[in-house]
Amino acid sequence: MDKDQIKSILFSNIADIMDMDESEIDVQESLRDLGANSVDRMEIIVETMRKIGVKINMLEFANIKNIQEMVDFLYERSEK
Amino acid sequence: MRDQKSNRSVLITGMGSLNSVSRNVEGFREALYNGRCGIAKSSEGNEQISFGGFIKDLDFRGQTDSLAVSDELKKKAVSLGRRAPDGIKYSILTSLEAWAQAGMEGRECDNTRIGIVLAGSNLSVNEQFRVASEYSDQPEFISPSYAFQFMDTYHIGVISELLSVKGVGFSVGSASASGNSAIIQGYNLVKNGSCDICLVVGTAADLSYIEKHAFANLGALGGKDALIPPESVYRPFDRKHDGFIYGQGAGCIILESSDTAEKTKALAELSGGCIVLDGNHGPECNPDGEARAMRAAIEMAGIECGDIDYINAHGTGSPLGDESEVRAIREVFGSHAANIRINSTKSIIGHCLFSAGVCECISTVIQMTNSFVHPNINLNAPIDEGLNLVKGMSSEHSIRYALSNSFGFSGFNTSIVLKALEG
Repeated sequence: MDKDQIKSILFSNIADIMDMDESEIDVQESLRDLGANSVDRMEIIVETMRKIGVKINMLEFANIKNIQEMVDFLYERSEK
Repeated sequence: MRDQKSNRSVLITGMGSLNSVSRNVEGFREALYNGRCGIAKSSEGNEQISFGGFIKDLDFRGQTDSLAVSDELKKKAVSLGRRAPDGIKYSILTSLEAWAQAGMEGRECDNTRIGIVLAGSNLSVNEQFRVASEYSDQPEFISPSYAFQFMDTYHIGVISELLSVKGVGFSVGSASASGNSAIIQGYNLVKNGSCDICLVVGTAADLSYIEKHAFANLGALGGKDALIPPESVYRPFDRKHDGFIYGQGAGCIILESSDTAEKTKALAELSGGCIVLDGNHGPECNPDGEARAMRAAIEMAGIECGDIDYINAHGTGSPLGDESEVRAIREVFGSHAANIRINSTKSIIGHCLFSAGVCECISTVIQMTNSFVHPNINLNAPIDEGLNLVKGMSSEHSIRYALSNSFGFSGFNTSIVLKALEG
């Protein structure tokens, strides 16, 4: 799966769970900046991992600062 | 807490309804009056468990939009319900309809004096079955929200957030008697001053095919001849009855103390109700327990047996269950039994299990306030010709005091008394 596909899945999940338009998502912002609470954030991550087919411990997402970093991280781990 | 010794009465001020025949209380009135049956066949195939009264093709956003509440409340409802399991959507819709009818929005009242009682337990077994089937070999991907959504009490959380309710709240389980038990607990809370207003919420039982098959294996499920047309399969009190047909039905009633309610706006009075056990772990019914529940409810309401002019029967269409209830009614009412109009709302919407008591209380209030009794669908040859089981079409009937029965597996017997308001 290439990085654009991963970004597209992540954006689609953010839009669905946060009830917002994908055009409102700025990759420089964090999920928290978009208004996601802790449950929303975990829902977005778990649903994205499921669709990509990669299993990563939730603790490893702790230091991710924004959505771009999340795309990069998911891409890197999905390659392994 | 208010003075516990007050003579306050408990009024029903709002109702919301959603089931296989209708999307709201007015639609339910029309279906009851016209005896329009909601039993159909699901896509599960041509077998016994495929019969049911199903809520189909619900447009949650559209239905929310049709309710007489503010845009702000509609938005909150959609936000809370759009990704939630269907049962939550039903609870949201019926609570909002009842809230609107009771004139709650914009009303000045202390929200710490409003409570919620939820009817039933094991409300989302189909969702649990789906999650188990889908994720048993990849549990890492289970939705984190499932951790609080699988609990029945999630309904209470959603409704309390939606309506900013901050008083007492809990769920009440007593098998198929859960609806009545929840109404009785709501009654007690208002009567004893624990709250002024109480929402009693019953949502649609969401059975998986595992539970449906278990009911079939037990012999409790009707439709044993799977070739019978769905609208003819469910026959409470008819000699050809052969078990219950599952129905999906949700309802909400709002109870309010006469100390705070505007009596002119109330729909009916809830005069009393009683839960009694009959000391039995299994599914068997017990005429003695049923009779004790009815007598106790009547006594609590401070009336005589002769005052009851309508019974919304438990009437599941199980041969033993129907016969047991008929016996109990004859025992309690003696010669007056023949004067009482009796019907089973289950013949129209199916057996809604945990919410049955709430749906049937709503049916009773609809018939009471519109002065009619609906027919028992498919009643051709009654098991007791001496009772006034409503046949054929709806008929005009003025109801002053009504009894609504709900009995449940493992020895639960409940009955409530409703009183028409003057004028």
